[in-house]
Amino acid sequence: MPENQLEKSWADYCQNEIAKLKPILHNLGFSLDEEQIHIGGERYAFFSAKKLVLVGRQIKDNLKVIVKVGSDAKGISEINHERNCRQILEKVKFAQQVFFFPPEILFTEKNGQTILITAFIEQETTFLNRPQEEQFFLSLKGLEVQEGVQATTYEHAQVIRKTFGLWRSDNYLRKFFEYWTDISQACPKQGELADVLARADKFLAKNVKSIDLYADFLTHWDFVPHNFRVKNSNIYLLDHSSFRFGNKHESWARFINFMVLYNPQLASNLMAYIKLNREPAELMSLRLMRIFRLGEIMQHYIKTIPRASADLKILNQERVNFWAKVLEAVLDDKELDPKIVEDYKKMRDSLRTPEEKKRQEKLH
Amino acid sequence: MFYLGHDNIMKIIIATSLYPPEIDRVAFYCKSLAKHLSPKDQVAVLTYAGPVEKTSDFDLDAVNKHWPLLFRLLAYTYRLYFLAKKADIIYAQNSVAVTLPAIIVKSLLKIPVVINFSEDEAYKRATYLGITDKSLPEFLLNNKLDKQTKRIKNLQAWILPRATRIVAPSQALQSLLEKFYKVAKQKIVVNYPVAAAPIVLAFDQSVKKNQVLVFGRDFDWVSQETMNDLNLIVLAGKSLSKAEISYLINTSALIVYNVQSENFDNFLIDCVGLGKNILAHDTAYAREIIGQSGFFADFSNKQTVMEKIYQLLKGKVENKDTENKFDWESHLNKLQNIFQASVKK
Repeated sequence: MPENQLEKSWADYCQNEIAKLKPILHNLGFSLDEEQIHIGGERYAFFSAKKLVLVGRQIKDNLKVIVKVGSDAKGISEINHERNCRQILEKVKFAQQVFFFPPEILFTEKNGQTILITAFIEQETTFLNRPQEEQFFLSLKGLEVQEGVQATTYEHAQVIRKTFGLWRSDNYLRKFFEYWTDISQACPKQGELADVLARADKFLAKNVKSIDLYADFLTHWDFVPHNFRVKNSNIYLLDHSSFRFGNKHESWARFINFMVLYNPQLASNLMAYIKLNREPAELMSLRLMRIFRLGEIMQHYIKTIPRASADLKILNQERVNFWAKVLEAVLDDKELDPKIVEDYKKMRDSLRTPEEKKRQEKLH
Repeated sequence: MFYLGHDNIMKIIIATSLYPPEIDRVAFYCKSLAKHLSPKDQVAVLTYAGPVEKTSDFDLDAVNKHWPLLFRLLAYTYRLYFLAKKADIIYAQNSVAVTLPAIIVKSLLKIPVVINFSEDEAYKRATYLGITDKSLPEFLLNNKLDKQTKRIKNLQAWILPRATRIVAPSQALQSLLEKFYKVAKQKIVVNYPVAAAPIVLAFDQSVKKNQVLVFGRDFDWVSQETMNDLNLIVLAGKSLSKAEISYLINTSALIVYNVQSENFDNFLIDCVGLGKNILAHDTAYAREIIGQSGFFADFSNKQTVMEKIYQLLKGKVENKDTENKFDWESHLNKLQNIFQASVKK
């Protein structure tokens, strides 16, 4: 598909969907905001299902709400799955003193669309704008509470396992091989990239026991600030479907990798915490999970390159290169040179559209 | 029938339901205890686990926790029976999945079983799942519980009196065990827990002048977190990570402990272990744990409490040194005495 056509078809889809949705929502007592930042910017390159996340208001009291609407089988299934996951987590009272859920206001199916409306959680400030210590303790609270739930000793483990799945070392190795294959096929001329991925695969396979040593814990594999909001020190989870029973450091790994880019000091503080207060085997397990998650993020961007237009295509290639450098540093057990992060950020910001920059403003 | 091995080496089984990589306090305790005991005694740990990291210091045996409940209970009992045949004593951590097999093995082999009542399993479950927000004595009086919690409570009531000895973490809990679980007084021995090692953080943890950490519920100043020049941090109702609590203890100039009844939280013990200045609500438990180093007040009189806080912060009253009862040395000495007495019984 030509580059800009995908962007255009995404814009058309959004426009049509919103036009169709507005009267339905009005009848249900809701309206949509004029400006919809969640569907702008780079979103077009990442969508795979007909599902929109929109911002609106409840007409009777002007309450800010989040409207999720799905209109194809995949989009509807995603919304249903997310709701199911949320209901299960509420039912089993998982980490109820740590994780909170935005209240559900409405769930309905109208004219082939599945609509889920939840309250918008207004936070005092974004996660990354909070003081360094507060960020550290909030993240620790969210990460450690997941370690308290084990697949066998937890009372409702059967229910959770059925919905969220269970991963052991063979799942991680198989999946990483898939990432490696996808990346290598997409970038056949990048020898260095292939080398670092081969090293990573070998390293994972060699330390497979360390992965299983910390398996069977409930872990949120996409635990990053844009998937939760913080209000009065309470963490409100926005993504309920990204849990699974797996290696307990998977959530730590995703979070720390993310912070290498967005708050390197926090990444370093969390690594130091594990190093200074946990068994050495935990540090190894965390390293393995960081490698795994880095493979995943590289594959994520590789997949979008054919769909992206001009600048985004370049940016996503640079993103792959950047994460490959992070992967290399983790494999070498070294901290990433801060200059690499700074250079990458400069380049990224020069390639982002104003719309995407705006979308990013309050995201993390 | 039971004897100490050669050169007074005792053969001890530490029976636990939790062991690292679980992050529960009991799990860490069992691993550390086995490490501390193993140079002198012969130690075997039996736990429920998936993969566990073996060590050369002591034997570690695990029953697969992926098996269905009944199978793993039977397997645990079976393993414990065979280990106990060659052992002098079973030191079981209080969890029905462990203490029930231990009592069964005791009745078969007449081996002494010492139960470490470091936590009440029914209460732990009920607070974790939000079934209760009451104090332990109130919880123990309450019979309106869900089926599972009630079952655990009843099983504990059946098991505990059948043990050779029960180790209680305080005298206050000793009397609760007597009162609610009908354990004979002479069977209960107090052995204070070991204070948690301070959590190491990558940033500064020096004391902040005028920072007061308030621990406890039903504190009527909760909404006034900043009083004049005081920075009051009230923990009531807040769910914080262990690291943050440790950080707040470390950085506070004064700890105010406003808890009306005894508990298993170990907060006070950890504060004493760190040598903090403590002002506590005057209860038998607080006096027992803090000893000479603490300051006490009647917390129903706000005026008195505030005066005391300012007095303590201005350094007019010095923290008195008391013997630290919460270190490994004291804990192990007492534990070994308990083991010896139980074996000779």
